[in-house]
Amino acid sequence: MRRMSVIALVLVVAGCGQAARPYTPQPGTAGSAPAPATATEGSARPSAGAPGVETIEVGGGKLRVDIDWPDRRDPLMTVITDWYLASRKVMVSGSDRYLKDLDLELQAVRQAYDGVRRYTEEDRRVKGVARLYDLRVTKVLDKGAQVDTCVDESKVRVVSASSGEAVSPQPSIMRAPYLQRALAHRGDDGVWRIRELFYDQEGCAR
Amino acid sequence: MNRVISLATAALMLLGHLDAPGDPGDTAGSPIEHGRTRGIELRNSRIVVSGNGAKGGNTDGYVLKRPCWYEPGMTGAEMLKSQESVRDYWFRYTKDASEEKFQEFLKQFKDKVGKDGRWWGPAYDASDPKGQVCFAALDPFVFVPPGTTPPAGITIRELAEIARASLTVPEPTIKLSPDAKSFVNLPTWVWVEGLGERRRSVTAEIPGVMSVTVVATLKSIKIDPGTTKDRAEVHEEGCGAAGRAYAKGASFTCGVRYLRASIDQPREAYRLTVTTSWPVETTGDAVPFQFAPVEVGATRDVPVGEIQSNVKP
Repeated sequence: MRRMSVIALVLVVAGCGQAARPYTPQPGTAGSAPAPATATEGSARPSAGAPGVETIEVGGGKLRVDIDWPDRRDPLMTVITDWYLASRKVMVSGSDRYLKDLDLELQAVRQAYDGVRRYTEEDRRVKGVARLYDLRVTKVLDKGAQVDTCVDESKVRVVSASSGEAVSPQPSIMRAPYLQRALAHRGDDGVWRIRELFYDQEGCAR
Repeated sequence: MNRVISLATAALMLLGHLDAPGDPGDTAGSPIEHGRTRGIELRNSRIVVSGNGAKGGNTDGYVLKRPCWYEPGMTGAEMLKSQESVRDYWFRYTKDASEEKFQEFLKQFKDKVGKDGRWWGPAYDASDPKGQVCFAALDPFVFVPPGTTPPAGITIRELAEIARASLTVPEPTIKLSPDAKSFVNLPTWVWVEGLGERRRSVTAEIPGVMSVTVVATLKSIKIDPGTTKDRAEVHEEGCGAAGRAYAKGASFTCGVRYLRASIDQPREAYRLTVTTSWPVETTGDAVPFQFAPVEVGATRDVPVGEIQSNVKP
């Protein structure tokens, strides 16, 4: 893995005008539901914070994201679901403006933007059905948190934006469920921001 | 601690290392790595680990008392310059960015220019399961006056711990005489080979700030015959640092004398283990720290048979 040997950048990006969202664990109660955005259409949601599958349609239904909320829903889970939804809106639309709505530190900014670069700069889009499941706040320590989710994109296809045809080869990460991890830090303003993202092709069963 | 201004849309810092994202286009983030054999995996750290003990062997699983810490980085002027250098980046990725907001954001760094002290940033040990969340709990940057260490700031003691955790020693190769099979009441000589240099050192350094070296020296071996005392006598009085190779006519002072055959054991053999012990000490001007020895062992099967003899009158 390439490293910048001398400099490290730490960027804190807070969506301007967004209210601070201090973390208050409320097991079994509602957290803030994933924020609907302009690309969200025809959503079939359970009541906010309720367990069960929340379906969010992105780009007029080009991509459907099913979020399987656990019984013990934690507001911190939206750190990773918000990021996932925003990044997939980018992959459906080709515009990275959705990432500006997220609360990210620099390393996560770089990861988030690099992760969608092929969709903003190349002739690629996604469609199909994605599923997030086994959502959990794995660890919380003072102002730090580790949030994990399993991602199943086996029914997602990467297609050419111009022709709509599936590209070949498809990204290998989509073949089987994988683990996505977000490390988050709560700033002095009470806002949880993603510091760094990780993924792991092990650890998630279908 | 610095306070990140809540209305600002970005704060940038140049401190240590930054991992580049992995496999862009498929998903975001860095891969979680498995199967690491090193004792410590530094992330976002400026610490340089070197020495003949930092590679080519096995660690003993030494765990840092705290898997994350702040490290000293840039001066106030360097920090401001670095923040100003990413101006374009800030405007591109900040919602409703404006010059006024950018200047407001820069103020916290301008305030430190010309002041004694440095900006410190967080780093962690990725080999520790708690390392990531510990790292996430630390602030992105902290301005620290000279001669002081912030809460969770790295100390010379913790740097020595990092060096200690990085210490590796070779896995020993067990040698026996007789080699392939031993017999009841027959002395089985034990020694180890393949250890290379018997003095292994690791230096952990934050360049220009502090450095500490730990040295492990092979001192002794322990022999576990893989069975109970009523089945085996262990002799370690003459083992020295690496056991004692068989020599014709020499007295038997390092090895095992098995008293019962191994026919009733799994695989019809005893599981003999030899553990090398490498006491550790710190060198140089640093206050000496006490560490447990590095202990690394190896195991092999020892089939033990019985010699049947017929005595005819």
